[in-house]
Amino acid sequence: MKKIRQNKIKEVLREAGNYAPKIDIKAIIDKQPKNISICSVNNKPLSKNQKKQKVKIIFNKKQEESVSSAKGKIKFKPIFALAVALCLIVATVFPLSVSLINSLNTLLYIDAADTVVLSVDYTGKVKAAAIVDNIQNGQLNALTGAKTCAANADDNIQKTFPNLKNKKVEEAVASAVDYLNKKGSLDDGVELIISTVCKNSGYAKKIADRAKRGAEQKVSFDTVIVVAGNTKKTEQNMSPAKQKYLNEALTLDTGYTKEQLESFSAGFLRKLCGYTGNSDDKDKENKDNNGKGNNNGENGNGGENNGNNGDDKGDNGNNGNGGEKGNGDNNGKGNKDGN
Amino acid sequence: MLNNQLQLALQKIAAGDTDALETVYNLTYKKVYAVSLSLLKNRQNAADAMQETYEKILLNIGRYNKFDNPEGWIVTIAKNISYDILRRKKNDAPYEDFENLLSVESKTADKEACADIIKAAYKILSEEERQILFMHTIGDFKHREIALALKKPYASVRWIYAQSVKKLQRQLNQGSEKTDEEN
Repeated sequence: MKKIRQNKIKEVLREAGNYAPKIDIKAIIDKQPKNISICSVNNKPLSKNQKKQKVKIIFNKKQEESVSSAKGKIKFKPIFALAVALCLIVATVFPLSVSLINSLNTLLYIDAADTVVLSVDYTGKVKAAAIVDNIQNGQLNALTGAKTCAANADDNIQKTFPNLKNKKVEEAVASAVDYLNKKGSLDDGVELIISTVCKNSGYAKKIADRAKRGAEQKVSFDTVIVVAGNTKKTEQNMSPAKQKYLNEALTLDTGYTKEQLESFSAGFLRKLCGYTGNSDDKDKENKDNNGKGNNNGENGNGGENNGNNGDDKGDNGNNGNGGEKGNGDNNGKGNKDGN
Repeated sequence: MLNNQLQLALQKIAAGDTDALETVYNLTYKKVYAVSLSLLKNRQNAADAMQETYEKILLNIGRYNKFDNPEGWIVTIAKNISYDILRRKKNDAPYEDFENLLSVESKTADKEACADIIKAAYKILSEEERQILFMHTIGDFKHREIALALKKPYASVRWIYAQSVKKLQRQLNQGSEKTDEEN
């Protein structure tokens, strides 16, 4: 078979072009209404100058404005992209800032005969305020008290200090000190201790200084104001839990000196205080029963009565002061009843 | 010269003289056919596209103000209509009537050769290559006119055209060699 040349290809295709289908162009023309002029343009071809004029006519003011605004829109595109990027950044950073705010939450104590506890947010505004009674373990229990009060803000705090919420620290402290004055908690010569507890000690000191400024407006001339800003841990670098169990252990006859107790871990101190379970209430029950166990050990008959306590009772029986026989019986009975 | 005639005819249509469409048709029907055929792969559909193209020229003449590239404008209309038809008829099986591209009086050998060339063009050439090849051969476009209509550099158009013809030749000759070997 012959090889096809390029010229042949072109020739054949050109021929195909010559036989292009014919269409009825008159039918198309007849479809259109003849007398309506679609656009008023001269029949002559446009010269260069006319073209320029035409261009000028086309780009009248409004169109120019629209063209320029369209250009402006194109210019703004990167700005929109930036705005979107900023929104994304804000969306990711916001949760971080919330956690920072939480970490800057501060508790402010005004200690005199009564203690007023204020919960202050990072902007220095009061979120919750309460009087904390029966402070047995110093500031740390006051902290717990304030937290409890903050949790029940509607019931307790707002009844006590309804006007302090969302006030500035200075104003809130002034009102609180005024309240203590009227109550008689701030007599002449009484030491008014203003202390703050916060994760950031520098921030805590700032809040304490602001509180001092507020307190100075209301206290009498002789009242001494002591200001301290602390981190959450105490000055002895002790956790709240350890402080709690240490205070409790000091009240018990454990046979250890205070220094020795301080060197122990919180867990050991807890054991010393007699807590073994997870919840404090249950532990207290156990503690009561353990005491009974000791007594029963001495009598040698306590096993039956305390069988429900199971292992706990048995363990304490061993530690008790009772005789050997008594301990053995108690353990045996206790385990059986437990099973 | 042709562009001037075309411009004049279009300006007449714009002025309301719709009879000038006949002049436009006579000047451009091959070109419109070439563009449509390169996309539609079917003579009948290409004829439909031509019909719609001239209707659209009449309808949209008011929007066409510059009159500087009339062929480009018409080619664009033809391309868009061809794409529309492709979209509309995409589910229809293509009707390959390539033998009918030449007249009834043409030689049978030429008809077969034409069918082979067109088939090969659809098979191996890209849309752009096919368009340029058809525009130059079937549509009688000059390379410069193709460059203007497709808004491509003149040199690129020439190069693409030459490559397309070479590709076609190679393909067709390979096919003939295979049939020779088989015989």
